[in-house]
Amino acid sequence: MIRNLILTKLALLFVFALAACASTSVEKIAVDTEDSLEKVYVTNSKAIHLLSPKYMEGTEDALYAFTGNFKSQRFNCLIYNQSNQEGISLLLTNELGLDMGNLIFAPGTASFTSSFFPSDLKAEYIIADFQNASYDIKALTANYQNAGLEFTVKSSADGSVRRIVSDKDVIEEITVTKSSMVIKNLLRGYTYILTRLE
Amino acid sequence: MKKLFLIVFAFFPLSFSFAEKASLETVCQSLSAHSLTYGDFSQVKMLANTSRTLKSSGTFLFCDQGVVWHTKKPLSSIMVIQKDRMIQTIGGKKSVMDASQNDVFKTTAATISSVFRGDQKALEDFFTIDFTSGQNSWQMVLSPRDKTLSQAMKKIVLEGRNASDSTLDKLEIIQGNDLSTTYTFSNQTYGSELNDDQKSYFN
Repeated sequence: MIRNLILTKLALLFVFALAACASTSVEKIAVDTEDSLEKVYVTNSKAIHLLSPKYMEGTEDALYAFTGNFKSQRFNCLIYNQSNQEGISLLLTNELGLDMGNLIFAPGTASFTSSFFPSDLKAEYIIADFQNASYDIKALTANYQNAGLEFTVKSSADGSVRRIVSDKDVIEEITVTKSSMVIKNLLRGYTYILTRLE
Repeated sequence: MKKLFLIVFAFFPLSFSFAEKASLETVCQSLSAHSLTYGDFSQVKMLANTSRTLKSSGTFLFCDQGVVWHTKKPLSSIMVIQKDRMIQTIGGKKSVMDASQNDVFKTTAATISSVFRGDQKALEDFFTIDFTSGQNSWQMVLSPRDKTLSQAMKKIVLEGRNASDSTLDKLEIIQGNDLSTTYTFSNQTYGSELNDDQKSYFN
């Protein structure tokens, strides 16, 4: 009798556990993503789709001084950023006024054209970083959660620090203030610093 | 006597004008005669899809070793363009970009150097040249022959003054979409040797 009771309880626990597992693996938070574009691998095994541009918070029409560091390499240019709920347009130019690159993001479109940067530098990866810094936090949180990642935000009077976390490891840290954006990817080893000029 | 005076009077202005008018050869000889040229620049770049422009200013240096663009406003930075590398300095931190494997960069760097230094042979290799000259000024319109260059720019317009030494006062790069970047030069000074400060740009 007791043996039967224990077996029944164990069976019920097993069923509940199965149900819980099943509901965790299929339950996705509704968020609009650009599924026709290439996925962005945030870690070597976890990837996201870019968010729809409708999640852009406000609009941007500003010139930034850009510094990019990757391992021992360093690169500077000016970036003219025009972003709104329809997309992102980044014009990279050097001090001489010569165009270094042009990035366009709109629903169904992501392109980065440049004669100076390696051709394998994918637009989706640059756009993902800009989305992390300037898109709606709820949409970002949902998108990363759907990919098995965590997106955390710590707000302060001057701005916010956003983090992408995978299994307690910080993958990327994005510090946004009124005058700058610092995007530090700890996994891939690069840092972008954007300082607003006008 | 009166006839002679009339003849001299009639022909003198013409001959003077002919002597003073610059040609492509005289302008290029004059621009390339100096080992180094330095001075001030102001720069205005038109942007696509907006009425905004990017404005900057600073000092320049053209010499055999390369082109130095020392921007002072809106952000202090130094860019040095040489045959196969670019050196950038911002906030005291210097970075060197090796472009020896980048053909587009090398073509662009060679073009920039030939344009700023009035290297006639290189200019003729890269562009078809439409040269016009007035009493006090000259204009050179350069249309790229090279496909790589023609993708980046539709034409370059150079303008300068006729003097004992021709000067390059204005340069406009017009892109395929008709957007342009205009550089205006002033206080041009010529020299034959780099001083220590100027040499340090290339180290």
